[in-house]
Amino acid sequence: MNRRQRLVIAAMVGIMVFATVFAVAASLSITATSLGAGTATVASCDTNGVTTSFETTYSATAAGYQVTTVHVAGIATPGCDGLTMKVTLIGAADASLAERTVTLATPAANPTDLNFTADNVLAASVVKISIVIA
Amino acid sequence: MRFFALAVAIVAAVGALELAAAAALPIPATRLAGGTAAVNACDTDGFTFRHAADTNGRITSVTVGSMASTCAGGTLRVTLANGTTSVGSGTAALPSVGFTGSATVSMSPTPLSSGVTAVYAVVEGP
Repeated sequence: MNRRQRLVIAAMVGIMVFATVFAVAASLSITATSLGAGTATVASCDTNGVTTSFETTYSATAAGYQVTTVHVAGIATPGCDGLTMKVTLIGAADASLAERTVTLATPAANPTDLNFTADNVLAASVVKISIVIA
Repeated sequence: MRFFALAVAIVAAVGALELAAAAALPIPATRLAGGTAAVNACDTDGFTFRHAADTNGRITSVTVGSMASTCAGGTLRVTLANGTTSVGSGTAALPSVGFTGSATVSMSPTPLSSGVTAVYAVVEGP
C-alpha cells in the first residue's frame, strides 16, 4: 500500500467516523418546543406627540358638564395609519373613568374624534388623559 | 490530507450557515406610541355668576366673572338648571387677546328666574 492509498483510506475512515458521530447526534430524541430568538426595534409611530381637546355638554344624568368628545390631533401619518388608538380619561387617584378605542384611518384623521357621551364623565373629574397607539 | 481538510471545511461551513439561519429569526418591527398628560383646569378657584333678567323676570344672560387669564381663547358654556333639568343654556368664545376674565353669555331659552335652581359652567380649551 503506497502513500496515496494510505491517505485515501485515512480520509475515508475519518469521514465515516465524523458521519457516525453526526448521525448519533442527529438521532438524539429531544421532546421540546422550538425556540428562536431575536430582537426588533419598537419604533414610535409618532415622535412629536399629539394634542387633545375636549367637547362638553350639560348632562342631567351627570348633573354637570360631561365630556362628549375628545379630539386627538397631530397623529403622525403614515406612521400611525391603521393602528389602534386607545384613549383613557383618568380621574383622582389615577382611576380610569372611561376608555375608548378607535382604529385609525388611512391616513389618520386630523383630528381623530372619540365619543365619550355614553360614559357620563364629568368634565371636572378628568385629571389626566392617557393615549396609546399600537 | 488536503481532501480531508476540505471535507471538514465544507461541513463546518454548512454548520455555520445553519447556525446563522437560526440566529436570524425574523421579528417584525412594532410601532407603538403612548403617553399620559395632565388635564389642567384653566381656573382653579371658581367663577362668579351674575344674571340679567327682562321685565318678565326671565333670565336673558349670565355674566361669568373671576375667570383666570389662562382661560383666554377657550369656549365658555353656561347652563341654567332646575334640579338637574336644563332650562337654559348659552355659549361664548373667550377672546385670546384682551380677555378681561369676564364674559356674558346669552341664554336660550330664557327661563323664569324663579325656575332656576343651579347654574353650571365649563370652559373648553384653550
